[in-house]
Amino acid sequence: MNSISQSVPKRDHGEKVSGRAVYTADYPNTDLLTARVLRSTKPHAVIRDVAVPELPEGYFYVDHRDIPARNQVQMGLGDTPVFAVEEVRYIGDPIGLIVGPDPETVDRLLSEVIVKYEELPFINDPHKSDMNFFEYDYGKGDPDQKFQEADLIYEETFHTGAQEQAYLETQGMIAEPDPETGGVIVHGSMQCPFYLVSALEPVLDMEPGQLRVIQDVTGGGFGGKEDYPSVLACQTAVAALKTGKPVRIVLSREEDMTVTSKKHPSETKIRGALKDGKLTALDIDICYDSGAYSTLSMVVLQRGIISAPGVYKCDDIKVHGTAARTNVVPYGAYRGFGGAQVFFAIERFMDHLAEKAGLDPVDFKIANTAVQGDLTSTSGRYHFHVPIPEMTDQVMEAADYRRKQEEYSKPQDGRYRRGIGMSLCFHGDGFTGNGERDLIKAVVRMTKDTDDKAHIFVSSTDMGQGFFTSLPKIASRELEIPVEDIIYEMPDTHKTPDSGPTVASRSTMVVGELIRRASQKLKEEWVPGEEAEVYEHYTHPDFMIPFDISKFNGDAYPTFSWGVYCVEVLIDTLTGLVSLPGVWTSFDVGTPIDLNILTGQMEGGVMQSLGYSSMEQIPYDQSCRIRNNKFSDYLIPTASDYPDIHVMYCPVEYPHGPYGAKGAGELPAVGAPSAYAAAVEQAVGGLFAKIPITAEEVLNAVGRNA
Amino acid sequence: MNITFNLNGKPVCYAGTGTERLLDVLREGFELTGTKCGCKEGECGACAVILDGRLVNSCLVPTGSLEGRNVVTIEGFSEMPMFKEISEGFQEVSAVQCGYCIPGMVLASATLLEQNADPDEEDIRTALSGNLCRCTGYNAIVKGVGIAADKLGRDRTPREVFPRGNKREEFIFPRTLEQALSLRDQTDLKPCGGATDLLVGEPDPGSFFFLGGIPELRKITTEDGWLRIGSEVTFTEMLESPQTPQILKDAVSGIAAPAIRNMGTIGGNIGNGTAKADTSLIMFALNAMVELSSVDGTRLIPVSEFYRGKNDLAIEDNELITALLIPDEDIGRYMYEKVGGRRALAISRISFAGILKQEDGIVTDMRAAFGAVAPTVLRLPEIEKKLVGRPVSEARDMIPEILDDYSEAMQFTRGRVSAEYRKDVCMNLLGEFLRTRLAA
Ligand SMILES: Cc1cc2nc3c(=O)[nH]c(=O)nc-3n(C[C@H](O)[C@H](O)[C@H](O)COP(=O)(O)OP(=O)(O)OC[C@H]3O[C@@H](n4cnc5c(N)ncnc54)[C@H](O)[C@@H]3O)c2cc1C
Ligand code: FES
Ligand code: FES
Repeated sequence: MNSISQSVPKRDHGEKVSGRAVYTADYPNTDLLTARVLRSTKPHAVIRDVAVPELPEGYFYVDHRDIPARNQVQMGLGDTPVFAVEEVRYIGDPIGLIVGPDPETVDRLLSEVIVKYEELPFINDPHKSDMNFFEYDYGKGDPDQKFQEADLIYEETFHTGAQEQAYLETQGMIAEPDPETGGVIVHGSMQCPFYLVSALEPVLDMEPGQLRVIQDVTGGGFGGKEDYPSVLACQTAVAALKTGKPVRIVLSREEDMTVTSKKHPSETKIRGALKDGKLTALDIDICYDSGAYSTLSMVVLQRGIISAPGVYKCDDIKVHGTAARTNVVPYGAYRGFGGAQVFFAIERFMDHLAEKAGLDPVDFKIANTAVQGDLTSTSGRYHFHVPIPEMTDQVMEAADYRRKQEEYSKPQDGRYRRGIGMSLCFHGDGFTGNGERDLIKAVVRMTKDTDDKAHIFVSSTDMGQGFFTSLPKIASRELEIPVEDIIYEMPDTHKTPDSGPTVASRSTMVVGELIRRASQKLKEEWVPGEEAEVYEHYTHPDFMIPFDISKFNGDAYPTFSWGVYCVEVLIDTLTGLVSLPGVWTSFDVGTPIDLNILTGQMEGGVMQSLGYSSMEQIPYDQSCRIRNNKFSDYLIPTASDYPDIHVMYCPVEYPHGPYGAKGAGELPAVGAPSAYAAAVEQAVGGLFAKIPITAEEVLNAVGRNA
Repeated sequence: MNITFNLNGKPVCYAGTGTERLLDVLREGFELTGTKCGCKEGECGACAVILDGRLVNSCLVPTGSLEGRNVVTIEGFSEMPMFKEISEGFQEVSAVQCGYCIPGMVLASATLLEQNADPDEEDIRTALSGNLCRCTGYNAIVKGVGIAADKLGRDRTPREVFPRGNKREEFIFPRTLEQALSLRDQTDLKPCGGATDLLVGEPDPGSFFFLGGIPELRKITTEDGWLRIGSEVTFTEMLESPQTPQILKDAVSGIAAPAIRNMGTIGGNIGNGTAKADTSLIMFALNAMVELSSVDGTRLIPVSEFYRGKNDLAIEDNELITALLIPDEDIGRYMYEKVGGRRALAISRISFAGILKQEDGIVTDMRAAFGAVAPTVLRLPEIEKKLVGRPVSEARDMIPEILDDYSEAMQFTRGRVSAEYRKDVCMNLLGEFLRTRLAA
């Protein structure tokens, strides 16, 4: 093991364990105005009138008329308004704010606002959508020919549900006028400080120098604090400018679950051809429900369609994907970013295809897994070793998979039945395509002070994933000074260059590498007692095959992180309840930068993936209202639900990541659902092609296959 | 009203109406923001504090119930014994990610380790089951608590760390049943037990009166062939009492999670009027009586008559539930099952309790109660009776017939799950009960 992997105490441990860490909601109320959002109660309507009660002194109503410049939050197609003007498109769409000193008075005033709507027809089914925000086609080879030559053709359609990030800290933001620049200072719970600067610029018509964004201690993100903080930043900033005072919005849990982005529900149809035990062609059609606004659907869909053929080598493919507009909450980023949906589909497809062909699913999958040098779905290359076979062996051995698989496939009687299943996945590391080079252009800055302390300046955030600890470890290793002598403060866009957003599992691999190189530079300039400053800029790996997004051709990712999952289930045939005696996983994320931190990421991600497979559900009622918008309805796993998740590693070093590290954050949340479904399927029979799998569905399968 | 209580070891005074949430008061009034808000409905544990030595969710603690009591928050605990070991345990495995759940986790761990020096993994998971964490998958936290237990010494004799202090009854008002009954008679105030139902939602300010200070309502006693559980006995107290029948303990241990069990009372569980209440099912199965008191006197009513329909209870506006009375008898063989959406913090979607008594090979009693599937708990005495008096072997042969009877007679409502699923599960559980308990 590389010595960098050895764990160190987390930097934020002390303040968090003792309750001293200050989150956005923890700033005292004195000197702050509270804002609550007036939201649409209709899924689709024209606003006829907004009657605001007479406001006491010091209370304000803020809406689109108060926006200094453009009423548009910069993301996606630019269709997301800061405040709705005439039309509302989902339940929760913001119309205005009531702002004032006393939260209870604000609440009361808000409840007295009367909005008159003229209701319009709404769409709650992406198949009935009148508009695709995005639609893509790509392919390679000659799939039609391969289908003609096939021994077996199999087709199936798969569904996945929405998933709420359910970070424990709800979203919150504070904006205050900055007398120094005439602009605003915004701080809050967020993943990507510079996204907020870009969002604020056109809304306020201000220079970046007037817009200062600082991250507060952030209570979890999982993708959910990638886009929505921009909305809150614009709303609070407009209110701060109008009132001349600091203004805070903290969403209630119900509000957060109703209005912030979630994982896209999906439908994926796969048709595949088999010839001589090999997968020879794939025809894949994917539809993501995007909700009311385009937000991040473009990039989520792109990653989805690129990843759709899974870990398999298949040179004749056709992929079609759409992101359809509907009148529900805008779906966006969720750890995995479009990957979890398609990996569920392709892994289930491969299981079922193997079964049809009378082949062992694991052997069949391994025989078709791409190897180093093979072409990716977009005719890029797997430039590095693909460790899936070793990882699969590792997991099978730990789980005693072969024996159990054989034993559980025999008829079982008694109240409880067992099943076991496996799944494979990857996560393409970093931004899709040339994003890092053309859009992000990450820069990091480091300085040393006269006390011989080194300072790291990056905009990368820590929302729990441990970056405040792992980044200084890298610098400490290169500078050969104790990690305590490395200072890394909360990202502040007036102090840090733009090292890019904290998304796409890119931070350790990309920003970590930049800090490694910057530290080397700083070391060269190191003179005890003197100051020094260095910058380091992103360089695109030279081995990459240029990616053409219009054709989906080339290297979509420089490299991949890999995952193998095995899930064992125990099913109560009287109730359909599923419990998990064991979960075994192996991951290749390159060199672990800190084993404890990494394992925490893997365990947490797998747990989210298991919740997604089973208990986490977002149903809508007939009027397009989310029914499960509270923790009492939207159930996430508790400490009693799952066993100790076994996490193993199989590191394949990536030469362009720090000490060989690759992306890690999203991978664990991508692949478990198909293993879960396969295990349920083995225990009770039938075909499971949809998640979440409810107890009712399990019980029905028991009944059907009795 | 002015409420005086001990906060992190110091007496403090709070002026309010009694219905404020302790969570808000801590964060806003006392600027103790280590106590986090994640839901305000008792579901996440981020707001956990320690009240007289017990873990509670401060979002469900009304200030009016605090008089004379001891509250310890994370800020206070971080200067107390055990904090160091727990913190180090968490640190060794890097269990702290975003940190938002962590103050609650630390306090939940502390109350476990205060009472149990040598917890195993399951003990730890149970102790943490009311504290949601979205970051860690719990493994690291569970390990961290284990390490803390090692550091503290697994063979140590547990001793009290948290202040319990004064008896509630010396302070809180009303202090006697008489006072409570006259309040009930003369005001519109709502009787408040543990507030785990009442504070979910926004109550009108000052609309509660508190029953926690009345000693006779907080006892479990046996008298004249009845086990009498006072209405203010909490779930945790029922679990700790040797007098509580095992079937009731089985059901109570499946309610929510420790912090809710530490507050919720049986009177509130019956008083909230739903067929999902887990103790209600057991009271039906045990032929319990509800004791109702008012200024005019006390009466007993069978629980099956007490529930008239959904949220429709046979209680007068001036009455209080003062106890549940359970026949003090051997119930023979039983089966209890709960189907919820997950393994902790789950409201019943279906629940079942069955009791079967036989003597000398003859069935002497059969009871089957179904919870959460209809407006009230269901029992069908006509069908139950069919088995009574029959030899076990004959009764076994009747199982298909009995199942058909139930299947025909029962009406199921849909809720989180479909009516069909409810029916299938009820029939499955009933069948299992009869097949496994009807045996020589
Ligand atoms: C997160 C969470 C999980 C839960 N899980 C479960 C579960 O798994 N199973 C379950 O059964 N319940 C569950 N509950 C519900 C709740 O905990 C129980 O119903 C509890 O027993 C209520 O008791 P209490 O003392 O807190 O009641 P309170 O909230 O104080 O009162 C409840 C109702 O009863 C009335 N009342 C209280 N005492 C009396 C009295 N003496 N006489 C007349 N009326 C009275 C009140 O006015 C009120 O209407 C859960 C609640 C929460 C918040
Ligand atoms: S805030 Fe979630 S339990 Fe109190
Ligand atoms: S550490 Fe983030 S919720 Fe537990």
